[in-house]
Amino acid sequence: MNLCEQCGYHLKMSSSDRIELSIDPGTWEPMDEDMVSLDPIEFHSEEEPYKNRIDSYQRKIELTEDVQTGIGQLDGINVAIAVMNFQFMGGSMGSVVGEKITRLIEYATKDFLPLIIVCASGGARMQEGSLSLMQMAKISSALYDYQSNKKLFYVPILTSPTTGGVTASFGMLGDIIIAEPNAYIAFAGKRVIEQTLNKTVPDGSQAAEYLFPKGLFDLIVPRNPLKSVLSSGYDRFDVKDGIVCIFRWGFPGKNLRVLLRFLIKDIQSVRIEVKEGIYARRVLYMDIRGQGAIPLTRTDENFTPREMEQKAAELAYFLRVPIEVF
Amino acid sequence: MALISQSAVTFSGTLSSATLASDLLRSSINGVNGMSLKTLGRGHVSPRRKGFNITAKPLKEKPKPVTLEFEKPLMDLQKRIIDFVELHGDRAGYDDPAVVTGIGTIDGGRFMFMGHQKGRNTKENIQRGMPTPHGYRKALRMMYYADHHGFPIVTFIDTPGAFADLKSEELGQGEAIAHNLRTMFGLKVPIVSIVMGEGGSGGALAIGCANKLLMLENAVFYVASPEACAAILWKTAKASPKAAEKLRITANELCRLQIADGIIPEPLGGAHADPHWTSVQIKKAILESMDELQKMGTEELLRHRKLKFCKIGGFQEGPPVDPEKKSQHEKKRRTEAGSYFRQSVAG
Repeated sequence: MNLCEQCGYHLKMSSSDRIELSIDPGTWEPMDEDMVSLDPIEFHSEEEPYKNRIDSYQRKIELTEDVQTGIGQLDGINVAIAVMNFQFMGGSMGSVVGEKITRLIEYATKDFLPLIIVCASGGARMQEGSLSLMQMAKISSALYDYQSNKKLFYVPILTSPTTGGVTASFGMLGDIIIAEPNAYIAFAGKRVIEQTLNKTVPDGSQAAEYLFPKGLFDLIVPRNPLKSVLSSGYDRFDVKDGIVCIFRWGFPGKNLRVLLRFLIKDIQSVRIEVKEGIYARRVLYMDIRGQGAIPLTRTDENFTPREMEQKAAELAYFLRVPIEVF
Repeated sequence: MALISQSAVTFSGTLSSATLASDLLRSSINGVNGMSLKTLGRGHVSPRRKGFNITAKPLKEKPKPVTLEFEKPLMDLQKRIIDFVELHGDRAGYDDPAVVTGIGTIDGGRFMFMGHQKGRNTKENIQRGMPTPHGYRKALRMMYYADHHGFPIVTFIDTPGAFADLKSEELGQGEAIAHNLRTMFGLKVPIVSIVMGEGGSGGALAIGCANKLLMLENAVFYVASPEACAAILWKTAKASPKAAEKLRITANELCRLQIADGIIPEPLGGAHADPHWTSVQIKKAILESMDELQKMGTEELLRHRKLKFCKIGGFQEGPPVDPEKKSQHEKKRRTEAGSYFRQSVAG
């Protein structure tokens, strides 16, 4: 896991390792593996032409580019995943990264898959000039379709470092944004700020822990429970396969993860239980044949009766089952 | 001239003549240090650009006033062609003076205008500054407003980039830009962007996801300023002229790469030489592209905007692989397949 055993420091991690860590073993299906940059603006520097540089990285890291995209399974659910690799040219975003991620998002849009992108990047790739800049817009346009039109679910995971164009596009567009502990997250990096303002930037002022109270992301999750957190909180109602999956991330301990899978046709009814009084308690249950009632709302969530009614009605309509009130 | 023919929008005959004139000028300057005329108008942008001093010389004779009228695109246009009402505030605590937004009319048509506003001198620069997240959120608010009421949007890009300081970072500079990018792909009104001076990095793009991106002839658009690029790649800002050349930041080059859709001609010597004439050209360009865009239906408009950006990029699929590398790949793939096989047996 590339963690320091003493202090728990999160070291950088290659994309292949991360894929192995994050998904069910043996379920990785890569996409667009053979895409390479064309050196579109003929950027040559005397010491090291751009093409040679890419070539040397390709040999060293045995990847064609600094992002790996594909479909993998997370506790049995197909998920579209992109993982960036900082070791490959600083994880910089060029045409290939833009195109691969855009295609992944389009694929996920088409197949209604949840999307996870693990970001690790120094920003846009200088050697491709404004073309790299435009990749920000390209990915955002794909995300607009994915999130706003199709209303699908996207989680970026910000690892150290996530800066520049990646922060200012898909890094910050998640429905839920997860950061790794101590990750360096910025739009303008430390060096840029120091150069423009001639001020020194104190260490740690762009670390995830410092930015968290400023409200920039939802969660800071250490690497070991990352996979379970990712798979927590999915309620998936798949009409096509007639399967319902419910995941919950519980208290640490024996019942750390709750995973329920059952068939839609087994759902008998949606039940609302209302206990009025000083401690009003309104819970929404799903009645399933052979499994009893499963609570859907959290115990500490207190909806108004009207909200509750609406939710129940929506769900019941979707599942085409009756509503019971207790 | 072949470069121009690629551009989607062509503006009358003046275009070619203006380019010719600038070509002439450029060739005379090339003698100095190989930089093109494009940097001429930019010389004033940051006096710190050491490498540009030589080319900026012609400007020094006529220092501030030249850029004066021109760097205030909105205010300037307000007087000349537009009946303009500025609207303020992001409704979240601040009115960023670096981004100016408002509603105006050109020839009876109502548009939402927004643009970066740099200062004309040091004092104004301090007051205006570079855009903070507040500025982008103000622009975002105006975009929603324009979308709601059906005003076409015209944006003027003129910024070296979003403000880089810790306060902006904490306020979510990246998030503000990202949201603008995504939102602009969902606006159901035509959007035209014009690069007036310089457009740098995400800060420029945040109001630049348009159906048509037009550039003034001497404007530049870049992913990182030549100095920053040189500092990153060659570890010294002295290499900035080299970086400026390599980065392909000029209007012509960007048209060739299909990033910009059209070039708006400038008078001989740059826009500041005759601001009035330039603003007439800008107005003409806006109206021409708006006419074209307003013929499209909503769906087509959104598709047009998306496709404009989707086609940008330079990559290749299924490349010829070195035999040596190929054998490595094969080997790796075989071992991978083997391990998967083992796992599936074990499972």
